Amino acid sequence: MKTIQEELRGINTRNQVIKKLQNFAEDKGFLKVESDAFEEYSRYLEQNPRQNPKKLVKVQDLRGNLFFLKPDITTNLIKQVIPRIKSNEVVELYYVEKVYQYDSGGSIDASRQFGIELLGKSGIETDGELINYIKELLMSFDVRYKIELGSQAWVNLIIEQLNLDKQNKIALKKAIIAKNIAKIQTLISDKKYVGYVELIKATIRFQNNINLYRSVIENYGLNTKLNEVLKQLEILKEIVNDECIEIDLSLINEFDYYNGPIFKGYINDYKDSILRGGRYDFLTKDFGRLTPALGFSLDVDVLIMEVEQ
Amino acid sequence: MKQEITIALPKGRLSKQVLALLQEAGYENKIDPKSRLLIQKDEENNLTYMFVKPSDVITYVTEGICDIGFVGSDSLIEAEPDLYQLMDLGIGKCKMVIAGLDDTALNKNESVRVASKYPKIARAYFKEQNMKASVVKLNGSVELGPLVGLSDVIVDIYETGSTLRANNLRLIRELFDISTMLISNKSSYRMKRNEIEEIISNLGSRVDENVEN
Repeated sequence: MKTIQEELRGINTRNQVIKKLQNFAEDKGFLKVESDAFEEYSRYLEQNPRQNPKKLVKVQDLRGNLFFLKPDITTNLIKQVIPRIKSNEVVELYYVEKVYQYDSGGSIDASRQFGIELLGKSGIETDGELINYIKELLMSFDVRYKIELGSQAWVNLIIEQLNLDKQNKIALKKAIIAKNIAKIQTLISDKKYVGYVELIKATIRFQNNINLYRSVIENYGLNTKLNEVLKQLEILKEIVNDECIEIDLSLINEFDYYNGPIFKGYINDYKDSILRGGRYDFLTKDFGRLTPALGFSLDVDVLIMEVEQ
Repeated sequence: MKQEITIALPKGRLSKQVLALLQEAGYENKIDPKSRLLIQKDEENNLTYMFVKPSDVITYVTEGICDIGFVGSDSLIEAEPDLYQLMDLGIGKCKMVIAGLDDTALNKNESVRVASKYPKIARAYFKEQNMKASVVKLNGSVELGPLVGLSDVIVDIYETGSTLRANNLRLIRELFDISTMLISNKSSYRMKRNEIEEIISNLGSRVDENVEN
């Protein structure tokens, strides 16, 4: 059991980390917001069909109405902003809050998140600016970090070319997420798609090698729109200019709401990613109107733990 | 400087096959699989081997205790862990099958009773076939299920079929092939990518022969 002094030191570290995150965001001009504590059960599931309700913590008011206990922050914020944002209006927000879900053992897990949401801002320069903020943030905490950068547009383009039914599309996305080349080859067995198989294999086996991907596209005569995605990523890489940021085009999100660059970050020897984000314009359609939207969230408790060590 | 890679090796028959593969790939064995030491180091290649229960390989890699590991694809399909499955090693090959006393068990109108170490796999299969099934999880000697009336059929791995035959069971249907996979923790992959890719590359040519066979 911790001594009181150890506990106080831990609390002090936590407070300092949170203050540093807040100062960082406010120095950049972001406004701190808070999301609602509860989400109405049916409405939340209707607006977030991709969420797994079994993982979310349910509470009931005295009238018997069911709610979820703060399951996520992004959708709550954009639900409030998107119906009212004017075209060409920009809203830049940040938050430091807890979200709740059940862990694998069935206990309620409260996880503190720091996040930034940029609404109404499009363009690869904006994407690069946000990734540079993340870089700056992680460097300020003096942690070893690596960020992997992918593109949901890339994977969606490739899957469009293949004549797969819904079940096999889902299976293929899962296989790409797992970097399971053996499974990918089983799922795309039609010889006419051999070029796309070689392209996916190249993105897994030879990370960060845009020139190689270009030559595979050319050699196999693949859809040239893929080159446009590569061009955007090259621009992004130039903006962020950091060898700790690697292009991984097998990085995808299983769900459809990301539509452009996506990224994940890792620090020190921590076993999981500490941050994740990307451009999610498509998600805003569900809340009223297609609006440029970009953001990320970071696990504050993990950052605190790594800073303490 | 090369970063240390920790490898989860499943104890038992599979570890001998994996070690043989690693040796052929140029990692001279500085370790003794027969020793009771559960953690052994190969200082020259900066590798640490941990001998773990086969059913725990996924846990050690998911938790980041080990960077990479070797495990059967049957366990991966059942557990669906958030890991990378980087390479099919082409060893430990077998099949996932349905077996029973006879195949009439699958023609029932009512719910088929299934015994299996792989309840998720079993449920997913019967759901896909639009067949009703109730699944009982067993941890071993699954062949007993139909013999003692616990189940109509079993979903289990099939290698030579000798255990099935010895217990008067027959192979009813093959579901999919199983092989041994090299898995990686996602964070380890990103932070130690060069070292992990070097291992994959060294294993590469040796493994391709196994996969083709």
